[in-house]
Amino acid sequence: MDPAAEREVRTRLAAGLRLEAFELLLPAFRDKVLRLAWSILGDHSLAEDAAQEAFIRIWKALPGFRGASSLSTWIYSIARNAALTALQRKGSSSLLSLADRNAAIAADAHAAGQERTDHSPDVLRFLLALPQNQRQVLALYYIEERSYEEVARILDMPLGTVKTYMHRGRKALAEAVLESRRAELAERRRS
Amino acid sequence: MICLEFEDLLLRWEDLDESARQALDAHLSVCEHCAEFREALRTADAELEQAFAGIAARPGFEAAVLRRIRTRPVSIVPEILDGIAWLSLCAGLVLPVRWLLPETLSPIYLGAACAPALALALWLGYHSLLEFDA
Repeated sequence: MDPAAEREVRTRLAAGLRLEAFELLLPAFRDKVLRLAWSILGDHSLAEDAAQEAFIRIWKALPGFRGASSLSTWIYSIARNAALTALQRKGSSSLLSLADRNAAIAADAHAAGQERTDHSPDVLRFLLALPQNQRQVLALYYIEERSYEEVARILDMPLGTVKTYMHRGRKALAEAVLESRRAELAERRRS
Repeated sequence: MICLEFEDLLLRWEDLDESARQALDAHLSVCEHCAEFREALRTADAELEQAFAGIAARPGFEAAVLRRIRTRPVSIVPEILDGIAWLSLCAGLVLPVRWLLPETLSPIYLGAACAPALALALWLGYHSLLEFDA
């Protein structure tokens, strides 16, 4: 959200115009909140439900927003919590071992060269094979147009940790892209 | 296999100063593996950005959120007090039942007698008479 729009939201809140403030931020953050929820849940339908829940929480908490952090940091924090709650409900928060994750990435990369069974872009399927913290950092980095500082504030992590997760995540994705290309090349040679 | 000393530089390209970038470019011009990795990194970045941009809410999302807000029951207390109000409601329903029962009654019978009142309080809380978000 651009600074002028954020100022307008604050002005409306200060004037007691809660619904008017909410109606301004809802379209501005709708897709961004959904993308963050998707990166955590990996499913569009579940992500939409979590995004709706996030906006209900935002609506309820809006009168208490004091502006200690930026509006976007505050909104993403609520959205992340709503998506993590949905993930717990989904019961798929079981953590994969590192070996399993690498195997999943390799399998996805290989599958990318084979017949497609779903319509998600390859890179999103590779992303979902990454550990949850790397996924969230990568998602916020791309949603928030490359701001390490904003990502660190939203996730309440040191800047160095965010950069480390970012590098590991990007490296894994690049390796998956390379693996996918090699698999495609090998497939073409075979046929 | 990518050269380890250049892998880190490739991943933090944006943080590098001009001389480090020139040194990296010089290496990339002679190292096929590192050049391939940089290309894959750029592809992953671009595809991820594009893929995220493709994730959008279905039509009607905003209307659904606004409908949920407008149909929410009006709380009789400020929302920040919802949790306290809900607990008070539980106590308000359970304690009178407890006081009506004789002191000598076994704790098991006491629990059984209070259970319907507690269940009613839980049901009311669950069905958003006073909505409370943890």
